[in-house]
Amino acid sequence: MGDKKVHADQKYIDGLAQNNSFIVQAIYDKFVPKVINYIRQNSGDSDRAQDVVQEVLVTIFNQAKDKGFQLTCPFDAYFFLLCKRRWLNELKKSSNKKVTINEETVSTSEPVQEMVFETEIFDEKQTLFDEIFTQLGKACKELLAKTFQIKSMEEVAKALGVSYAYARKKKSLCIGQLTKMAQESPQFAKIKSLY
Amino acid sequence: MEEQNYIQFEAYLFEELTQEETNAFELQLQNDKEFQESFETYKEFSSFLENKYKNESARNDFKENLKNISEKHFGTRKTETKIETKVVRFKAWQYAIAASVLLLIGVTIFQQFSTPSFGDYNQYDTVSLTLRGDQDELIQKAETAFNVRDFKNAELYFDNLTDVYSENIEYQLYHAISLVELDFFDEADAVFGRISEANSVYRYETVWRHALSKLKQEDVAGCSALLEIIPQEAEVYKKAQKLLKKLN
Repeated sequence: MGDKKVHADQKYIDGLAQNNSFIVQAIYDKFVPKVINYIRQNSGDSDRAQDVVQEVLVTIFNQAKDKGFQLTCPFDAYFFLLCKRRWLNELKKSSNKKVTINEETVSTSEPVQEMVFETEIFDEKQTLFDEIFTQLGKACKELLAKTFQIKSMEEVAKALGVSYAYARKKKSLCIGQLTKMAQESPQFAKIKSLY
Repeated sequence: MEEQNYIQFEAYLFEELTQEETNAFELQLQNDKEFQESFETYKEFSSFLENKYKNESARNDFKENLKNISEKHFGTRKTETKIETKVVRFKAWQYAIAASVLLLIGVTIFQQFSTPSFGDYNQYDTVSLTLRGDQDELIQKAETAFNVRDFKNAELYFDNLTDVYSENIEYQLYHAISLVELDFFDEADAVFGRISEANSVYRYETVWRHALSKLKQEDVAGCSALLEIIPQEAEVYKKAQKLLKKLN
């Protein structure tokens, strides 16, 4: 995506990343009503719309925080398509079918599709990594949590009552385990093949 | 990858290798595809974890703020639907209870002196779950299965529904009732226990159904103990008291 121009609507992305209430409020005022309408017209209600909107905004927040996420299309279209696809997926999930990837994309412009695609892959990967992380042994989970919460490895070792060298080694092996689990996951292979 | 490789990955990322080791490492990255892929994944997971913990409090703040703004935005509508739903469902239960009480009065005359059994109580009123105009196929399937007393399928569908709508106590209740019908008592009792703790409109209905599960298991003491919990203001109070009398 490197050389594409950043859209003026990047302000919404930045505002979300900074937890700027004014921007969040503006998103609700300007863009959310359309989503509610859509979901209501498609077997949902405003309760479900509320959840979908929140989930999508958290995903955008996560992506914006992860690495300089740059919007190259209008926020309106991007946000709406994300919500719409999430809702369709939920509908299909509850009736045990999967939504096809390119559903009704004819009317959506290519940059929007690309952005939505990128966000969805990001979200899928986050979810998968989260899931894999929960499968890790308790000791590893604890050590990694401490490692990334406390910056200095010396302090981590102290907090856990182990030697520095042991904590270092353990950290690599724990992330090694996660690496292995990810590589053995067919879902990870699928996500990898998409980008 | 061997343990040694992961230790090396970490050392490389933290620039702790000697110049010579670094050169060797980078050479292997270029020539060994498996090594390179593992390293990439290792790096991705590291940055995922870093992000997960680094932004944890920012993320929680954001979620909290989002919740507030969202509730303000949806506020009225959300409350309206909630109240509406409650009223409608409540009424359905009232009818159910009224009907059950009527049925009980009739049945009591015949059964005054006989020992009560689960079979006297497992007639269910027609379930109607699609009140909010839900088009969800699964809900309809669950409803139909339950209404035709196909508990095997009802159990499956409600089990699925409780996954999708984990907050919905009504679905959990029907799931548990289906489990009792199928004699999966341990699972059913676990669900009853969990949902009777939640402070919902179904609280005492749940206790009542839990008591009936005990009755089916011929655990008279367990059944009585549960029936005694049900307070006077609960709709199922009368039923509970009658059953209690019969048991003693």
